[in-house]
Amino acid sequence: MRILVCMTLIAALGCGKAEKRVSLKGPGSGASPQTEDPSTGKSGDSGKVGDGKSESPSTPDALVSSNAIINADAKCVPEVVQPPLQRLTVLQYRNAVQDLLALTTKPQIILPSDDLIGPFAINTLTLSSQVSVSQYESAGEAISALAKPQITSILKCEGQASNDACLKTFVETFGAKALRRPLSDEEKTRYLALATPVLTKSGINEAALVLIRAFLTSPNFLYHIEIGDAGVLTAYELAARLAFSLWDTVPDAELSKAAADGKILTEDGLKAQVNRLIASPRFVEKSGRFVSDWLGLGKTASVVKDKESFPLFTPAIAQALRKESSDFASHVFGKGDGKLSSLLAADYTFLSEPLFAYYNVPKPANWKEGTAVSLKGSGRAGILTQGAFLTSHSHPTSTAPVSRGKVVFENVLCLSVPPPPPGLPALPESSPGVVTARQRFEVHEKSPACAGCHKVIDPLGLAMENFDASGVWREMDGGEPIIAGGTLSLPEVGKDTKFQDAADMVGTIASSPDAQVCAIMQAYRFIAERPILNKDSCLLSKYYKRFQASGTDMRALVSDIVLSPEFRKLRGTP
Amino acid sequence: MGNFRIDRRTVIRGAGSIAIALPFMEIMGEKALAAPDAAKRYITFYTPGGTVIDDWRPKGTETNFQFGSILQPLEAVKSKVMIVDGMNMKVASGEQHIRGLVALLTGTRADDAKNGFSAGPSIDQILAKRLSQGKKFKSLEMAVRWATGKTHGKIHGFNVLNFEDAADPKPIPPRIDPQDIWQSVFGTLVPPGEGTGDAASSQLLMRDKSILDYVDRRYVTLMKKLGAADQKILEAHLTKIRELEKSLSTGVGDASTTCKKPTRVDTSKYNPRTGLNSGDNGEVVDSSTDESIPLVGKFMMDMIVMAMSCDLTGVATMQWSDTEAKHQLPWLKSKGINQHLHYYEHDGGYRPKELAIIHNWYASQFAYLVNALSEVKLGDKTLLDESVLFWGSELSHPADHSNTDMPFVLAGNGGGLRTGRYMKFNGVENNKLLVSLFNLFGDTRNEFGKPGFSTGALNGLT
Repeated sequence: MRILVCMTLIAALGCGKAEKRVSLKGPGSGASPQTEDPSTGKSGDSGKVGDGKSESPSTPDALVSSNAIINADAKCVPEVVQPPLQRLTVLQYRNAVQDLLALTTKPQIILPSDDLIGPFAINTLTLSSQVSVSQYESAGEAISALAKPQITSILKCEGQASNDACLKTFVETFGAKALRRPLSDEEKTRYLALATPVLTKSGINEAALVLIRAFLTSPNFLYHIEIGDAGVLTAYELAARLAFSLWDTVPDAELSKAAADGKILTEDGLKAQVNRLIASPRFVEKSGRFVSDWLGLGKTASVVKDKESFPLFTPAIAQALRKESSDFASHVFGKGDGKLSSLLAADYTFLSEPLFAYYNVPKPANWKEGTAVSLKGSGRAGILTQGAFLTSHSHPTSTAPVSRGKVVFENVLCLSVPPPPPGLPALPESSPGVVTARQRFEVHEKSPACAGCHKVIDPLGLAMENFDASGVWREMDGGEPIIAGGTLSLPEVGKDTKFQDAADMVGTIASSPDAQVCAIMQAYRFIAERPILNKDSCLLSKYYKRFQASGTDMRALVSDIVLSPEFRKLRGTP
Repeated sequence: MGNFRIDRRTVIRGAGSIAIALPFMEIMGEKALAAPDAAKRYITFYTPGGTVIDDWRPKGTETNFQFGSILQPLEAVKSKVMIVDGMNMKVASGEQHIRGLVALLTGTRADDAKNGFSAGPSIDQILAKRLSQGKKFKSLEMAVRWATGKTHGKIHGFNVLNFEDAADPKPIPPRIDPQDIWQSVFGTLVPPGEGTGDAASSQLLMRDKSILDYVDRRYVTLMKKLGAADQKILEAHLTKIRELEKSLSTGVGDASTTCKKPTRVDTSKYNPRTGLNSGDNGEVVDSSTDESIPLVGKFMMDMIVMAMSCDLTGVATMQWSDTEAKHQLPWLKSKGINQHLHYYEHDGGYRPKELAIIHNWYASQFAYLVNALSEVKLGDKTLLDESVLFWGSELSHPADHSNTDMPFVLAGNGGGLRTGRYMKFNGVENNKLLVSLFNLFGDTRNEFGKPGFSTGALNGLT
């Protein structure tokens, strides 16, 4: 019965069809009907899943199938989709506070956890508990305590006629920065009314601290408030959206100025600002986060491996591997060509001293830190074959081919995996004749219940078996030679492509429309901070055409996203 | 309780059919006198990843049974617990861990969820309206070593048990920082005979209130300018601000001889947010935090017991990690445990021997909580006498993630729960158990969760 249910399920869901599947927030997503429903006597909901799962109101993120984007009607008109009001992410909050108070480091303040859309932190859910709200209140309090020692320099009262005048200026300047727009007269009056009694009782410093608390707990600070003007963002709102989308913080002085004098609303003025923001190290930093969140590299620096199995894998190596990926991504989005193909399949990387031996890559004679190192002949190419990815998606004692494959499948190709059906036995331990991971995972291929998904996912992970759990190259697994070759089946495009090894595979992936469309969807989520809806296929198809024309230039894609008229439309209208 | 024991269903039927006009006692006659008081306090105790059912299952009959190796630590509180064997959670559907976690306390299906989590409120939140009326906290959700592995310290279907009692029930993230909890629950508590707090803290309180009040008005002003959907988001935020304001002004609990501030334990080696740094497969290890798990767990349980003694709340959840529990268990190292829980479930192949050791430890923690509640005397009763505890997990057998034969345990005598027994059910749905729990608290509904999965309560619990 169970096997039957599970086969029905795979037939109904298919594996990899992204279309019309609502992804639960974050990892482990996907929904599988499993049980017999006593109320109907039918097997789960398997008949309904393929077509009946409508977009839910508060988590409407659903990847669109590649075909829908690739084959969209060239004349289609993008429909603007209005996602709900969003809260600042933890990082945006911290960056904003750091910039507002000119702190030297990011304040490590406890805030409500971010929600996820796909692999990215974006807050569209309603705050659900008193605890979360009180965290914002305590954060405001903690930050005002942090600001206390330097409040004189934050206030800048020199040259002011009186404390009252100074406080008034503070409300106007600090307020405009925190709320990303000039305050209305009514707001100024109200903020002053809150602070003046404190000024009288406890002095100007205390009054300023109370104001900081009030500003930082204001909905106008915590949420991306966009009221707009005739359905389009106002100059200040556009500046704020650009600042958060490209830098994850409040607008800098130049951006605020372009909003104040209205230049940001002209085509040239907007382009100039976008180019400036994208050319900045803060954008490169944000791009690094994109790569890191997208591929799950955020924790690489603190990965620990079993000491007995991997004596060479030290904390220093873990940090060096993280630095490699981070330097590599910074190069691609900074000085490099910005191309997806480079990110996924470049034949060079950036190593620090200890990694030459670790990777067994010869050190060029004139090498110094920061120069590109050729990977030709090393079996590696692109970010998926770097130690950061390989160690992050492995167990402490052994590789995790399904985990590795699943990240590529879900995050790089935007295909979805239903969870394994219930009632399956654990994989067999090593036994005579079953030594390598490939041999152990053959169980998947043999079982009709598993094969549906695993025949697509497993080859992606098994291709990387030449890299052990610590990211080191190996030829053998348990005394037997590793076979890394396989077939890449991309269900949407419908083509099977054979590959020899990991380096070969990543090249095939990089040039596939699936990966290109997926990169667009991921970048759109990350930059526009919006969930993807089925309706978005038209808009995404426009990006796709231009992305292809640019030779998959990710920076051009980002610029395309923020310059498109849809980006300037109001979000959050009823 | 004497010999007479009213079947709760008789009570419900009686109340329903003869309308409300007749006083209860007249319908039931003498028997009603024997009706036990409704339970007053409810605690969920969650442990991750099911169990090893063969080592969990007791041997013997309802009243004469011997614990298996996993539940051995309950021997000391045997007369206060009820083993509930053979329940199913067929309502569970969706991702294999999420589905069980959603079904456990809501009886709903993750697949039906509108918010990506649960399609209905969890039992504790509904009970909170009844049990925590006038108390400082509606409920206290605590989790130790929360959001490991793939959830990276963030709220996710893998790690949330509690859902608001609302039309669109939002997940409620647990409190995870033991020091924060101590401060917010007991920080302002003034034990009897110790005056009314110092002037400085009351001045701070006034300032907090005026800022909150101010912020409150900013939200109202802004809401008028936004669309309906956005208004709803801000309104939810505002409601929580108002609750916060209210909790600042309400009393600090009914201080009595049984109500004392729990000792503030030093947990400086424990980082409650270490989940934020977790790796997908448990490869990122935070030894000092993991070593502190037993200490912090005990501290949290002590705070739950004291929050209940002080009448600061009537509902609590004690959550051990999350469904995957990808943290180390260094205190079990001497017993050969050197990997995380999920490793023994299937990451490293199914290993029942190691799992039994871990679940035996969880049982000892449940025994600790049950015993601690029994040590708080309320007149001729104990806190445990008025409480009901429900210990559950999101699945039964970790290797195949099945939701049949759930390892459930109840404890406490609230609502007349007759403990000291081993109850065997043969594939009854957990929605029925949830209905029974409601009934113990005087909520007489006979259906809960997804329709079609339960009618009526379990027989024989009281």
